[in-house]
Amino acid sequence: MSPEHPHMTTQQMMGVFLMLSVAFNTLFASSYKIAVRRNCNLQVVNVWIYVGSLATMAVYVLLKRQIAFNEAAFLMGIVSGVMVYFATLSFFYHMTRGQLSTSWTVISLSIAFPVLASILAWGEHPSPRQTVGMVLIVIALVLFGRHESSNGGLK
Amino acid sequence: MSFLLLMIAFVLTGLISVTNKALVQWNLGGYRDIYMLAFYAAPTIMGVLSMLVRRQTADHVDRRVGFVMGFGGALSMLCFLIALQHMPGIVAFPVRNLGNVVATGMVGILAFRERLSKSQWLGIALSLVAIWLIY
Repeated sequence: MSPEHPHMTTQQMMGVFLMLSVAFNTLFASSYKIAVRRNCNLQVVNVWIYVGSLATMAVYVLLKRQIAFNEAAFLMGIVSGVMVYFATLSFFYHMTRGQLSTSWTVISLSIAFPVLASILAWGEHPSPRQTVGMVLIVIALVLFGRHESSNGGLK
Repeated sequence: MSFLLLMIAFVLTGLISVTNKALVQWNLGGYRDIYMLAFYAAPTIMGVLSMLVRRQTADHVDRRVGFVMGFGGALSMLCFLIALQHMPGIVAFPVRNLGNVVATGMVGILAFRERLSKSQWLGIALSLVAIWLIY
């Protein structure tokens, strides 16, 4: 059982957080569609995404009134932040010439990295049922990307 | 050159997800707040400096849309890192990724009146089956 919510198991609680993550990410993706439709300058929007994220986290930490510092976590955050900056920049420059559907599919398939790392580095073992599901992921992503419009270029 | 840029984005995006998983695996999950603050502070500084050098300006629509996206992105990552703390990566990453595909597709239909092709509907159906199998 979860200590905060005694009627829910930890697994159920984590399922709720996972669904919330999807819901908030949908807000993110839907706003991206608005940015494209309103012909926003996506490079500038990108900077404001980071500003908005940083402000959200700052408010969250202020509301919690506590923050635990750890040098390794801080450095990992910096390195990941630099990577996300260059990943987005590369993607946006690629999008000036590439096709949105193919590019999104390729980026979506990058979940292979953490899944493989989970299996190879951290010893997680997918069941046969989960393995079939993972094969379906690749097919689903390719199918979903096939006919998506390509109007997502940069201004 | 364009393909190379896509591959850079592909590899970096994958490595960021691995870092998220490593944070939990290395027992640093309790420090996710400082991790996330650093995670967003680094590109904010780089992006603002880049804007200043290029003398780019943002109109109010750019700012609003960007800010809403940032709000959604940060909370999405926060919730995901909390979930990842108690869930195997082989479940959390695929379910979140496919959930995003399905939910964004549904919002596209309902809010933006987009029409999905047959293959996209098939993709959504397969995504739901894959989520069921993996979860």
